[in-house]
Amino acid sequence: MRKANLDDFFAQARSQPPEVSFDLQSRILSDAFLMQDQWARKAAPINSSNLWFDVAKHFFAELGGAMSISSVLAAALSGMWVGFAPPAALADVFPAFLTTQQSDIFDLLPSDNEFQ
Amino acid sequence: MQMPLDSPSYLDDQALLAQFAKGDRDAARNLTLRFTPRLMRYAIRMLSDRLEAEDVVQETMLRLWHQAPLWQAGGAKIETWLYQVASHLCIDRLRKRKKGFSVSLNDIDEPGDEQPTAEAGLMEKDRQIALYKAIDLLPERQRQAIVLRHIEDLGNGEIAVIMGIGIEAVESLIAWAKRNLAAILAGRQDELMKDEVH
Repeated sequence: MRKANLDDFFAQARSQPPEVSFDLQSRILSDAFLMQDQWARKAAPINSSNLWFDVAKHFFAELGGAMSISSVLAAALSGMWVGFAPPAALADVFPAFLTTQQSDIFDLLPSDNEFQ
Repeated sequence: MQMPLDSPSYLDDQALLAQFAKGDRDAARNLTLRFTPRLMRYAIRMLSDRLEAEDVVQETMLRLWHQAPLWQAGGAKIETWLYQVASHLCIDRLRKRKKGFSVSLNDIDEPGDEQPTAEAGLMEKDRQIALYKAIDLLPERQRQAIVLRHIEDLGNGEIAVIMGIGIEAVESLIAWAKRNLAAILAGRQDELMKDEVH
């Protein structure tokens, strides 16, 4: 095949580039906007006039927001309730953990003095 | 100011990227419009598979978004960097892939309105398919070099940076690739050039 013919092939390929679908462009832009939102969250300035409020706001945002905090609080309160007023089904289980019992102590590493 | 998706920006690539890193949404749109067609053209020529090419383009742009705050002005060209990333991703996929040529007629855009007859349009599509098939048969490095040089229209110096080789090596790859393409296409020359015989 002559060089001129091969160049014709290439010229044709250059003249008709494949289309970029709207769906692909949307996905690429979503990635871009997500990245920018993340940077904006990290760079949000702390308002010194209400320092503790802003620190708490950032702390809770990093933990996952109101949904996560409410779940943690619910679990903590449930635990406290079970601890102070356990349900009847657990009444037999808890004393084993709450009362002190005498235990046998075994010396697994006896002193070397016994051999002297 | 809100700009429609297809409005051009007159900032250069690095200035646009710096604007993007500051949170400018329009800069994100302009960078997407500016680079995705070129990357898509390159990836689809390398992979001959539109879906895989889209994945490569999305991943390449994602890496650009990650890199934006760290980009040093005055350093490498963004376009060169993007082609480097896209090249690595394409070559990784080619090496993992076991299947062969997969371009279908649907992957090739319809000829423009300047085609005088339906038959001429089919001939042009046929030529493009023949070229893609021939390119697909080339070894990876020859394919990469010939696509970057003769379809993406990049200079040998830039191709050398993208491929991580010397300029002489690029010229050698391109020469071999053209020789191989000519040999592959020679068998179909009469059929493909039929409409030029008067």
